[in-house]
Amino acid sequence: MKTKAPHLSLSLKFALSFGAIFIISTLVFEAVVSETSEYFMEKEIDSKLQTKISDMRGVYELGGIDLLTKLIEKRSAQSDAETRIYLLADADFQKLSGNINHWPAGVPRIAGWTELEDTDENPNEYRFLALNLDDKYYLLLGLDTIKEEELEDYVFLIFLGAVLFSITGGCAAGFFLHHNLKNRLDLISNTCTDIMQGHFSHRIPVSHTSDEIDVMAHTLNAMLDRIETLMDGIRHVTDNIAHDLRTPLTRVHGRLESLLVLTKGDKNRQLVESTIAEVDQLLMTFTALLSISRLETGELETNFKPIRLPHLVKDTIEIYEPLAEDKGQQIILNDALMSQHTDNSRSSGDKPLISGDCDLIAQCVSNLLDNAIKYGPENSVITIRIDNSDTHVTLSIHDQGNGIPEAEHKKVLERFYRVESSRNLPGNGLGLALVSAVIHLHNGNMKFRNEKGFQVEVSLPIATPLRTTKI
Amino acid sequence: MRALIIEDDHEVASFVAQALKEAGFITDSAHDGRDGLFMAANENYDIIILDRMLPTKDGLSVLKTLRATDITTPVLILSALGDVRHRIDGLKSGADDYMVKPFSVAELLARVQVLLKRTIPSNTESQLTVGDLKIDLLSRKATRAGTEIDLKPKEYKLLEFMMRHAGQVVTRTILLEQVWDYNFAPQTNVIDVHMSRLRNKIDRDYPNELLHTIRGAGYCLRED
Repeated sequence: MKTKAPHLSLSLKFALSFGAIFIISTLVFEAVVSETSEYFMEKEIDSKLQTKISDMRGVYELGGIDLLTKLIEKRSAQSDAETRIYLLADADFQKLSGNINHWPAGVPRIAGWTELEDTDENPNEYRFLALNLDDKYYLLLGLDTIKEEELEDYVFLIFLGAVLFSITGGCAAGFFLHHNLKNRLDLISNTCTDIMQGHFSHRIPVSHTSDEIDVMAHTLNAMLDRIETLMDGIRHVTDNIAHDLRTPLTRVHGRLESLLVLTKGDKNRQLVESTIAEVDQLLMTFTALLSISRLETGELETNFKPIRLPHLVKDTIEIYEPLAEDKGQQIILNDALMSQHTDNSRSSGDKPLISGDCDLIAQCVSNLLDNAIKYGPENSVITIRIDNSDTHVTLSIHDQGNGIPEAEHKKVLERFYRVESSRNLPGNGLGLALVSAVIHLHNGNMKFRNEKGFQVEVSLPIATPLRTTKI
Repeated sequence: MRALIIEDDHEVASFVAQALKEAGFITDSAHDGRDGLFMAANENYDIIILDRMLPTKDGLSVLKTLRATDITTPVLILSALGDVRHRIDGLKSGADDYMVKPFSVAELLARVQVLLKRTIPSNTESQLTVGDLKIDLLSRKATRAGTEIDLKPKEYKLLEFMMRHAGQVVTRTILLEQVWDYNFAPQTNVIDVHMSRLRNKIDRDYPNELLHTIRGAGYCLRED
């Protein structure tokens, strides 16, 4: 199994970007509204100042400086004078009348607009408008902009609330979307896993909302229907091949056997015997080929049961031992599982089991051991090890032969491929292809290693639960 | 002994019948499921050879009908379908043995003999004897002419099987299935090696050979 890199699921990414877009657009909106309201409030203040100063100019033009002085004194005494500044000064900018004593330092001594930021001495912010009256007097009007500031703060608070609300809302919406999407995608992925495990009739459930996922589910289901039809076709064809070839082969076999009786004591008997052997060999190849195709298409119906690999390996060694002894070979079984458990004097029920088809696994072990004996040199040692990790039981068969050249490690798993040096030895080139197909069916894997001879390593997943199943 | 052959392929049916006749059976043949069922239900046979794919009535339903009507005659199924699932289906439906086509007639005969032997209830004998070769079923010891033979556990199992079927031809496939519980053919013929070891232990030091190789068929343990 590959280790998964940390990743965000598609739907989570979708939900997160959804939330981010939501928040960013709220912030942008807030900035626009705040800028606009500031602009309009400034305009409002300016027009107030403009109106007032025009009124005062009117008073000056009608009643002269005395009337204006009086008006300013009167205005300065009014209750709202705190937020306003009135100053009437002479040409030297000395105070004639008003509620401040001298011309403010930051305000230029010419007619026009000025804005004063708050300072340490003066906590308020003012906007001023100065007016030149016939170059003899200067009139300065100021308005506190504090109200405008307050309003801006208020607007900001409202928007802060809006942003918080939108973050919560965005996250909730994102979470909901994430879950909904994840559930539906999981459903598709689970169905696919089921199908890969051989439940070909399973289909992706459709929610009948006719959205994009439903459309995809429909398309996938249509594809699965098509695949199932094709698989049925293959099954039908292989069954037919099996039937249509086996019956004539039976006749051939029968005729040859009758011939065997007729040629008793005849010099042709040898010929008939070798022909029968040839037909049997042909059938074995054909059976193996058919089994491999069925294993690979998941077509072969298997009988999965908990298996104790060490027992199965021991039985296989027992049947092959005389063959090895005839070649002067010694088979050593190094069973970590067995020794480990006798040391701890634990019951055999604790040994890890694999789940598998007993006949198929036995055939694998038999093919591998057969190869080790066949390709290992005379008077050599074949070492068999069984180990287990938390998840897998590993069987390794190590012989001292030349093995398979590294470049051909993949090719030997193909049907009928034979290593150059082994072509003269008996075999049909299907042994390892069958082993590979069986291991694949059991979700295991197989490795070859050219190291002080040749080593085949087969790992099979441990069946769960471990201790509840007993043979 | 009477045998019924239910097989739609006439040629296969005829050479099976031929072989059984040579082995001393009286044979009848049926070429479709309905006839086969009728004959099996109305006559008394010792063994029925049943093809799985038959016209008019499929082999498995013939078998199920027979078993449902309490006919316990041993049935050997012949089939062109060789998967494990087919085998299990066949045995579940009440078959006593299952052979995949193409089969050798010698193998068929050997299996029929094994089946007929099996249906005879085994008496409570505690030892088996072939000539001067004896095995004690309780102590699991073998002796020839009074001398004990040292056997490994699988060699003992192999010898016991051969002695239980003394006089019959036993094929390599039968031995793989019955002694080693192997339901497939190994790439190399391992049975012959085991047999030659067993022969070394029981026959080498004695003038008359008991374990015989039957060419093209298998092995037979008998006293000549």
